[in-house]
Amino acid sequence: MPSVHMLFIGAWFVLGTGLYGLMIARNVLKAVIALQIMVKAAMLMLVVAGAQTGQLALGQSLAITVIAADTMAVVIGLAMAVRLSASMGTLDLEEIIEPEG
Amino acid sequence: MLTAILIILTVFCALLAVVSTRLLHATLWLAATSALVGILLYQLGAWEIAVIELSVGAGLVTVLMVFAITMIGDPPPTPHVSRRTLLIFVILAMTLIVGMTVNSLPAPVDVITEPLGAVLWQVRGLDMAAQIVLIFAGVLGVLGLLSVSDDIVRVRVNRIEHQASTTPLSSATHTTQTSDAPELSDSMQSAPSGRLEKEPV
Repeated sequence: MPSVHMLFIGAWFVLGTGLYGLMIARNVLKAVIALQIMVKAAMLMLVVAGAQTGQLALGQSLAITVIAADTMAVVIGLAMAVRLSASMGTLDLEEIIEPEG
Repeated sequence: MLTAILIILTVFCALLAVVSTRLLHATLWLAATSALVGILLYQLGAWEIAVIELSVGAGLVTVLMVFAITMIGDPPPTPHVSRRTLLIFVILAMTLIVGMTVNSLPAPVDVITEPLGAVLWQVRGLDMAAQIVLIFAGVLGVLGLLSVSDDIVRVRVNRIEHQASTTPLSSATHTTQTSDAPELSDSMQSAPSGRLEKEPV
C-alpha cells in the first residue's frame, strides 16, 4: 500500500478520535482540544489529497489557510473560556448550559 | 513501515489527549500529536507546512493553552465517563468510511513541483486576504484573554465582600480582626489560578 493511502486512512482515524473527544467532552477546553485534533486530521487530508493528485503546492496552500483559521479559532475559544470562567465560575458544559439544574 | 508506526503513534496520542482527565496532560498530548503530524507532513514532502505545523500547532497553541489553564486553574480531574458504545460506534463508522473509499483511490501521480509562494499568492490570493482578517480577530482574542485577569480579581473581591457582609456581626468582627484581611490578600494574589464561584446578583 502506498504511504499516501496509509496517511489517508490514518487521517480518518485521527478525525474519528477528535469526533469522539468532542462528543464526550464536558469541559470547554477539552472541546477545544478535540476540535484541534479534528482540524489536524482535515489538514493532513488536504495535503494527502494534494500529493495524491500531484498538486502538493495547492494542498499546502490550503493547509496554510486551515492552520491560520484553526489557530484563530483556538485563541478566540480560549478567550471565551477564560471569560466564562470569570463570569460563571466553571467550565463544565452541563453547568453552563443548565446552570440551575 | 515508519509511516505506519508514526500514524499509529499519532492516533494513540490523539486518543490520550481526548481521554486524559487533566487539562495540562491533555494539552501536552495534543502537542505530541501536532509534532507527529508535522513529521508525517515532512515525510510526505510538504516541508513548509511541516515547519508551520510544528511551530504553530506544537508551539504557539500549546503555550496559549498552558497560559489559559494557568489563568483559569486546572480543575480537579473528573471521573472518566466510559462511553464504550460511542467509541465502538465511532471506530465502526471510520472503518466503514475507510473501507468504502480506500479501494476507489487512484494510484498516486507524480508530484508537479511548483513553488509554494507562487501558488499561495497567485492562485489563493483571496485566502491570504481572509487570513489577514482572521489574524486581526485573533489579536482581539488575545487582548480579551490578557485583559480578563483584572475581572477575575474583581469577581473574587466581590465574592469575599459578599461573604463578609452575610456573616453574623460577632463572627464578622472576629473574622475581620483575624482572618478576613489575609484571606482577601491571599485571594487577590492567587486570583488568576483559582476556581471561581458565580458572582452574587
